[in-house]
Amino acid sequence: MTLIATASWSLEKWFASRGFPGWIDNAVRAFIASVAVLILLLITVLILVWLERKVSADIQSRIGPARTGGRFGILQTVADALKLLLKEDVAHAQVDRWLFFYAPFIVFLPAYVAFATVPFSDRLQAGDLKIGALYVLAVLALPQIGMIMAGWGSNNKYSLLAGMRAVAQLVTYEVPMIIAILCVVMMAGSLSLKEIVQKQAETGWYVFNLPLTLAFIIYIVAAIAESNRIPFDLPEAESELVGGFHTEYSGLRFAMFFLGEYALLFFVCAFASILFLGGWRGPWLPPEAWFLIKTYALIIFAMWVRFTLPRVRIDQLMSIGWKFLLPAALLDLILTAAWALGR
Amino acid sequence: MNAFQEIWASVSSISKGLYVTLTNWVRRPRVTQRYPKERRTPFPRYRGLFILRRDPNRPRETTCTACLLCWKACPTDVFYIEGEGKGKERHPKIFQMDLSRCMYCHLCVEACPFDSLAETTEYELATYSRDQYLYDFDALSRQDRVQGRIHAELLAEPVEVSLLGDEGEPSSNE
Repeated sequence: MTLIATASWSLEKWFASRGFPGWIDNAVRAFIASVAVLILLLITVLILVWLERKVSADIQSRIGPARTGGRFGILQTVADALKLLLKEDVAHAQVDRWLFFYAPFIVFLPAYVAFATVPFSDRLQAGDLKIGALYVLAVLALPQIGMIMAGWGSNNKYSLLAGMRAVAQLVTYEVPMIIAILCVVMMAGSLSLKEIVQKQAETGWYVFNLPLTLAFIIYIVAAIAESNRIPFDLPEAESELVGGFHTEYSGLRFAMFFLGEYALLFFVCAFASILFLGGWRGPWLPPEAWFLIKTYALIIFAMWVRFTLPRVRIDQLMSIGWKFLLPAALLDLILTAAWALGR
Repeated sequence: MNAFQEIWASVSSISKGLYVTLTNWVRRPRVTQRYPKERRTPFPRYRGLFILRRDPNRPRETTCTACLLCWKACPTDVFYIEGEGKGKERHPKIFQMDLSRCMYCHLCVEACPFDSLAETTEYELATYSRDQYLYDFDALSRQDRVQGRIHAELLAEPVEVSLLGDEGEPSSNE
C-alpha cells in the first residue's frame, strides 16, 4: 500500500518534471485507479459467486463445487465465466436493439463507478468527494434504469413485469435507505465517506450508538432489497417470472447482469461497513484487511439470510417498505437528531 | 400494541430460522456422496448382473446342466441356450443372455434347480451400444468381475442356500 502511495507520488513528480499540464497527470491516475477498481471488482465477484455456492451447500448439507481446480472447486467460477464468454450472444428478432444491448452495461456500471469514492483505507481511495454519500445515492439509483430497459427491450411479458417490479421495489427501498444514511450523515456532520469513518474514531462504531443501531438494521434490510437478493428477489422470482428481466439474455450480456448483481452486493456491504462498522479502523491488521473483513462478514450474513428466508410476496414487499421501514426510518431520524444535539 | 406484537413475531421467527440454518452450517451433516469415489453398498438382495456358478468338477466348470428351465421361466425371452453332452455330463455349449431385454424379475433364478444362475449386486451396467448387453457364457461365469462384492464368498463353491437368501430360509438343492 505504501508502494501505491509512493508510485502515485513519483508519477506526479515525473509528470511535473516533464512540464505536462496537471490534467494529464489526473487523467492517467484516474485511468490507473479505474482499472485497479475494475480488477478488484472482477476478482471479488469471482470469489463471491464461489462463496455463495459454498455457503449454500454448507447450509443445505451439500458439498458444492468440489472438483474444478482442486479440492474446493476454487476455479469453478472461472470456468463458468469462460463458458459464458464463449456462448453465443442470442437476441430474438423482436428485441428493441438499443435498449436490449446496452441495458446490461447500465446495470453493471453504477456498482462500478460507485467505488470511485469508497475509502478502502485512509491512503487507498480513488477520490475523496466532499459529497461522497450523496454521490453514492445518486449512482445507486441508476441500475433501475438498466433493469427497466432490459425488461422493455426484451419484448417479453415476464421481463417487462420483472422490470416494473424491480423499479417499484428499488424506489420503495431507496427511501428508507436514504433516510438511514441521512442519520449517519447527521451524526458525522459530513457527507465525505472518509470523514464519516474518521468521526467514528471519537464515538466508536456507529452501530453501537443507539439510534444508529436501528438505522443499521434498516439499512441492511433495504440494502438486501436494493441488491435484489432473496428474500426480496421479486424482480427475478424464478417461480413466477422465469428468469426475471434477464430471461432473454445469454452469454456475455447475462454475465454482465450477474457481475452487476454481485458487484452491487459487494458495494452495499462495503458501504455499510464504512457507515456503521468503522470502515478501515481496527487494531493490528492493515486497514485494508479490516475493511475487507468487515465487508465480507456482512456479505456472508446476506448469504446466510438468503438461504434461510423464503421470498416475500409483492404486496408484503411493498407493505414492509412503506408501512414499516419508512416510519421506522423517520422515527430514527428524529431520535438521531435528538441524540446528536444532546451530545 | 398489535404492531409491536407483529414486529416481535417476525423478529423471533426470523432469528429461529437463522439459528436452524446456522446449526446446519456449523455441524455440516453431509448427505452428498461423490459417486465414482464413494459408493453406497447395495442391499444384499439387490438384483444386478447375473452370474453362473462355477464347479471345477463338472465339464466347462459350471453347475449349469442346460435344462432350459430358466429360458422357459423368462417372460421377456432373454436367454439363448444350446446344451451339449448326455446325462451328468450335460452342460451348456452356448449360454447367452440379452440383458437389454431383462427386467430383473428374478424368475429365472427361482426356476434354476441347481441354483446355478444367481444375481450379483453389480449395478454399473451401462454400455455404449446395445449389442454389448449380450452376455455370453464366459462373461457370465467370469468371477473376478464380482470379486469383493457381496456374494463373492458364496460364489467360489456350490452352496446349499439360495444365493439371495429368501428370508433366511435355506432352500434345498435336491
